Amino acid sequence: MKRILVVEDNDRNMYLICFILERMGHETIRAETGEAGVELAIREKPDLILMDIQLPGIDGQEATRRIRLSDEGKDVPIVAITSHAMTGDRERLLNVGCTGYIEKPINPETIMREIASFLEAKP
Amino acid sequence: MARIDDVIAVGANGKAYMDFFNEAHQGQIQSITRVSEKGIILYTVPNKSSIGSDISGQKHVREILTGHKPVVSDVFRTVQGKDGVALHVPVFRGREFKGTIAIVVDFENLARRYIEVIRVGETGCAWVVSHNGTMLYSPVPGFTGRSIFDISREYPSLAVFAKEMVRGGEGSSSYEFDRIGPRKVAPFREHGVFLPIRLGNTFWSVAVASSEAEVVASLASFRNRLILAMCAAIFGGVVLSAMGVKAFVIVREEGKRRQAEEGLKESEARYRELFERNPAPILIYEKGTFRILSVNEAFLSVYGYDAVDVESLRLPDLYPEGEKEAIVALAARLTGHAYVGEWHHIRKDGSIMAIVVMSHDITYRGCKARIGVITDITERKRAENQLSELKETLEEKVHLRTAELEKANATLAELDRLKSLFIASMSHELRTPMNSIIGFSGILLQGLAGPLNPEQEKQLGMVMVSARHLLELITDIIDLSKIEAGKIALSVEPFDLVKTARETMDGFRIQAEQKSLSLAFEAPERLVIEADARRVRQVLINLVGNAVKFTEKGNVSVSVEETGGTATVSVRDTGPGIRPEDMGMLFRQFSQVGTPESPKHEGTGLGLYLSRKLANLMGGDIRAESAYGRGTVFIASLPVSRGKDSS
Repeated sequence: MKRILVVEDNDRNMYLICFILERMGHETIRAETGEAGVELAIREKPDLILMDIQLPGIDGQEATRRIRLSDEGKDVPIVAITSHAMTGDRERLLNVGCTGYIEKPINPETIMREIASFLEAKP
Repeated sequence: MARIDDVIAVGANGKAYMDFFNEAHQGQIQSITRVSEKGIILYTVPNKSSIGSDISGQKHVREILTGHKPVVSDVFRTVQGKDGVALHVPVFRGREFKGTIAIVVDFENLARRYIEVIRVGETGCAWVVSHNGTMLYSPVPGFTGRSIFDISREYPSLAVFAKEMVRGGEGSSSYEFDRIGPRKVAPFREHGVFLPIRLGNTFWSVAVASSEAEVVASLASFRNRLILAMCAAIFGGVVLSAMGVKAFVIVREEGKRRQAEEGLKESEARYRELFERNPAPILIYEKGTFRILSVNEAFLSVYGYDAVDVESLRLPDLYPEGEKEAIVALAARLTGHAYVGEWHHIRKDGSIMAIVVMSHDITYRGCKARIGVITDITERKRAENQLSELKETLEEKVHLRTAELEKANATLAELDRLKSLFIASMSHELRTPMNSIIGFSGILLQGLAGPLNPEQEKQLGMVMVSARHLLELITDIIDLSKIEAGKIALSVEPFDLVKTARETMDGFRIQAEQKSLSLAFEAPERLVIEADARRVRQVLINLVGNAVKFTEKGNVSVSVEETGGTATVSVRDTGPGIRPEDMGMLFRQFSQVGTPESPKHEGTGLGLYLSRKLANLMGGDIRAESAYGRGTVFIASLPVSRGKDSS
């Protein structure tokens, strides 16, 4: 069982992602804003962060950058959740410190597979 | 002729006739002689003693005996002691020469009768020499009968004259001489002319001479008379021609003057007519005083004045108060040149009209004046004003319309901005619920939320398909908006096109197997190109997806190749094909090409349009070839290297 931080402003998406993660047997920590995400990432030191990019306030990119600046968050895998329309920003996402990304719409099968692989890759 | 025959025969009759002839011409002839063909005197009157003597030795007798032509002897001293000349004429019996009949003429007598009468003025005289130079007659006593060459020993210049004479020609010359008739005088120069008189075998040369003084005098007098006559003639001529010329000139001048006068009268009348009847008002004013000197009929009728009114008018009176000063100042400056200006004139009734006046200097009845032709431009001015009002209105309208258009433009720009903003925000807002729908459907279908009965699973599957279609539609519309707004960002990087194409085709394997379509792939091992891999994938998914979707049996094949820096991916199917007339519709937005019998396929109608736009964005293109009823091939081409024209 791992502790996974989910940063997502839409409560249905939050519910969806968390439902899948919990079915996989993981513990979820939830943040609905970028700021909260950064705070929880530092305080709770999760094993993985799923970061929605389009967020009110500071967006996913900025939140990721801030997490990476902290000692607590410099090594944690951060997987961006992005939409098809955002593909132009993939390099940018990796540059600011994202480990990988998952595209919307979320397919339970895919997300389960991807998360498993990111968790295994962690040293 | 009987008498001549008698004389020839020298019978009694002949002798008697000769006697008679001699007596009848006493004083003129000295003798008449019949000479035989041998030169023997057969008979002669009056000196019968010489009958029987032979005269054939004499030169002129010898000439006639041999020549049978009349001869004249030189002057000789006859037996009577007188100077005579013998004339011999030949006589014939039949053709037989029978000798001559000779008459000796008393020369002095002859000369006196014929030559002495030739007198020229006071000093003129005539003289005759025979061809051998014997002086046959000379007014100087003692000279006749002598040789002229003997005489001219004393007068050398006469010798020269004489030589010319005996040559037989005619001419004129001069010589020194000292006799006038019998008188001996001081030597003088004598001018003479000579000419020969032909006489049978010989000639005599007759000279007529006159003293130089007399010749010159007569010539001088002739000359004087000639000069006088010439002078008179010339003078007369000059006077005459002068008179003639004068008369001619006078006549002509008179004619011209009359013509000019007539012309002047005519042109005066013409100009007066032009002035009086001119439809434009015309006035003439005196310079300096500005007194109106004359106006025409049109002026009176337009201005409402009568002729009496005009007499007291001055130019400024025609102008309204505001222009009086200006027109006086201007008119004072005007000289010669034509002036054109726009002013206002007041009619007698006080109404004001806008005018154009053209003026020029003239002399009028000895006065320095100026003539002005006036055009009433009131109507024109009104039209101009209307026009300018219209123009202003129009400008106003244009201004207004421009402002409206600007406003509309601004609104449009704002709308465009709002549209972009809307799309950008909607892209997120539309996707988010789709994510929920698709995500939860997925969870339920996977049984993560508990088991489903078959009907629930079937219906939830339909929700899933519809949701995916809707998401696809939304995504396409958003992509399209971005492309058309020029806001799409490409992520160009090198990638293996073969791998991308193979993966794309593999993604449709399940779908193809469900329709029993075989998939074929043909490509080199690797082909790395520079492009946006995700966009290329998007294009290929569209092309392969279409091929699988529309093909009911047969196969779909994908091939990748590179030629000359261009990579092509061909997607070939054995589907229904496209009618030639529908080929143009292929790449249009919201259009689907189908056949009446083929089922309506689900799609946005944006796929091919968007794919081609994306290919174009990456410097490539998509084209299609089709055989209707047999299949279609879509060929996407992309540059291998983006090179320098990287977006």
